[in-house]
Amino acid sequence: MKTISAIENDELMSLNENLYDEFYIQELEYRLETDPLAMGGILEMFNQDINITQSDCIGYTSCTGENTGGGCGIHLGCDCVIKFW
Amino acid sequence: MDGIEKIKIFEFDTSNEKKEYLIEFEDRYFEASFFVAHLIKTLKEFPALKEAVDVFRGPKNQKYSEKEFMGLIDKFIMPILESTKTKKEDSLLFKIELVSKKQVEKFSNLLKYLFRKYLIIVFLSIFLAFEVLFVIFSSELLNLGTLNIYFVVGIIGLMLVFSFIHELGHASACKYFNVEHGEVGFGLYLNFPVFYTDVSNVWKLPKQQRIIVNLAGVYFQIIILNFIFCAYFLTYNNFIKYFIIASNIGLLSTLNPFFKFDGYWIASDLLGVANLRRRSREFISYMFNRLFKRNIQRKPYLLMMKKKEKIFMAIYSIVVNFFFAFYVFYIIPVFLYSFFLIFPNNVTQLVTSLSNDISPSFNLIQAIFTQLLFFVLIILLLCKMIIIPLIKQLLTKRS
Repeated sequence: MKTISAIENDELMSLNENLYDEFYIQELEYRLETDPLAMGGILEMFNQDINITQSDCIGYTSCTGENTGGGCGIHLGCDCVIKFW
Repeated sequence: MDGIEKIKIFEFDTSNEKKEYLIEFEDRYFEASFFVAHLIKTLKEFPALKEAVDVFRGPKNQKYSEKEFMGLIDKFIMPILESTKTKKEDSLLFKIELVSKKQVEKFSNLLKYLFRKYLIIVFLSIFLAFEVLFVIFSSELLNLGTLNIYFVVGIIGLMLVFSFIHELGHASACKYFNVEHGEVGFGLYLNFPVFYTDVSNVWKLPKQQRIIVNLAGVYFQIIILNFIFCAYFLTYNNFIKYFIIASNIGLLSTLNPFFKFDGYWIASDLLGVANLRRRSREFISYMFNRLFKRNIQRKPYLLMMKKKEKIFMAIYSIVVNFFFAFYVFYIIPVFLYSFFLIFPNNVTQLVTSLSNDISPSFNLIQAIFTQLLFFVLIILLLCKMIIIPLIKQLLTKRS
């Protein structure tokens, strides 16, 4: 069972909290309506079936099956003009 | 008290269970409780301190001593009056003005009439019909075929114009509702290059009108897209088809409610919560403090909200914090890892092809350009958000 002073303390605490809650201000954020320039996304659209980033081929011209195992990686059938390694 | 007469008080349309007020001082806006607004009103009506102390009553009709009253002024009024001494905080890492307010006004004054209700209904209906027809009649919609560099540059140029029209939409909506807009500019938000319009004055509008201002950019793009759809159905031109697809992707990305694009402001106004990002973090830290039985200094805003909005706010807070955690702790590190793995190889390919007198493929140049751009933007973001604050903190500690 709570003592009277404990109850009084509780009451005082909650009253003070309520009083504090009644006063507040907060600065509102600067309202900038932003529109992302999705250039990366647009460029990605044009990224065709070739993923050059994982290739060690450059300047491939026509496609044959011979190069597939010789360092052209995922460019199945690509004719490597120059290889790196 | 100097400056108090410049403070303006408006009713603020939010989801708080209690009535809130909007305080305007110079070009700053504050959300305030009834008693802070009442305090300002008292100080404006009774400039003599003694009189103000006698008249002012706080919650439960409480009377304050002169000292207590001064304490209230220090805590709740001085931050407003001194706010202009500090730089206005925004979410952009840097920004530059492209078109001044006056120049934008030349367009917004003319275009504001496009927000008449019947015009909105007509343009949206036509757009929906065109979208359906586009999906049905554009064979192999996502088969983009062979493209050249001029084609891509053309699309990018048009997209820039399109984004600028989007910003004019926000400005024109402000004019329609008789509030002033600011300039249109270019900036960097996180690692996204963005166009922006300053519409801070729309805080004064009711929620519904604020949402229309938020959607105004998309609405203007939809109007332009209607004409582009007409051109497409007359010609079935591939260039126009790509532009329509790119625009649709752009429209969807701007409605993302987690990053501070249009979608964020729509979420903020729908929920009736200003400073939505800060308050969604506040709720999560409150939950952590409760979980670990730490001292809680202040009730989060969410607990002061009306019941229905409170549920949506709780869901938003959880989802947005997961989203940012995923972005910061997964997307960015994975990109950086792949960058260091792939980029040197790409540069070597470029150098080798150039030294062998072979023109590098467009894909290679594109890969190098986009990877480098994204990397630079991430580094800028890390510098601004982590490294510079850290250095500043160290310097202040030393001094």
